[in-house]
Amino acid sequence: MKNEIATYREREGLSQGELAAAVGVSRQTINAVERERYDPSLALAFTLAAYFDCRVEALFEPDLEPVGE
Amino acid sequence: MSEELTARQRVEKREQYSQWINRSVGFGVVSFFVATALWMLTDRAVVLFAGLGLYWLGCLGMAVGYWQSPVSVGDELERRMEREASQTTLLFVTVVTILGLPADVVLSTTGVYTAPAAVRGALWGYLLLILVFGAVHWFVKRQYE
Repeated sequence: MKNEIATYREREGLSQGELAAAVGVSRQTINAVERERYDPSLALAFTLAAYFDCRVEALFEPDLEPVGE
Repeated sequence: MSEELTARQRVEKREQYSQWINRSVGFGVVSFFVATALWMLTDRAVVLFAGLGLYWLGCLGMAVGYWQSPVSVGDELERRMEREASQTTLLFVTVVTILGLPADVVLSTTGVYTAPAAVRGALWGYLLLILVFGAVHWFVKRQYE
């Protein structure tokens, strides 16, 4: 999933490890999310949004399947 | 445990308990190998039993680490990787069983070929594993209904 985690993180002057420690996951998890290799859980997505004080939609841009008719 | 931990504390606890688990497993395995080496030198069965006891102690330490950890020992990416690896392993086991077990039955019954006991044992063991998976899956599914 496309995301702006790296942009927000760099704006705050944080390393991947520092962000990982701040939100309670491993550095590898943050790296995988930033490289769009791994879609985080809802809990982690909301935690990241809370940490950067923004909405989840500002951080993530999901590839949604068309819904409805 | 129901204590509220900050994100940083969760990471620290995860590292702390992972380290405990790894050291317990390492201690158990190394003890067993050392005991086996000593047994070959001394030929005393008590040394082997001591090695087995220490190995089980290491296993117990690992289990205690998992049970006592206030946080999940692996973070969400690690759990995801474990799940993917498990799925791939189960797929392999299932394909080998589906193709291999009927072939083994037909070949051995007709007398054309009898596979080595280790191969036949593995095939029937795989079948048992699939049955265990089915039972556990049924049990887990019930919790979501």
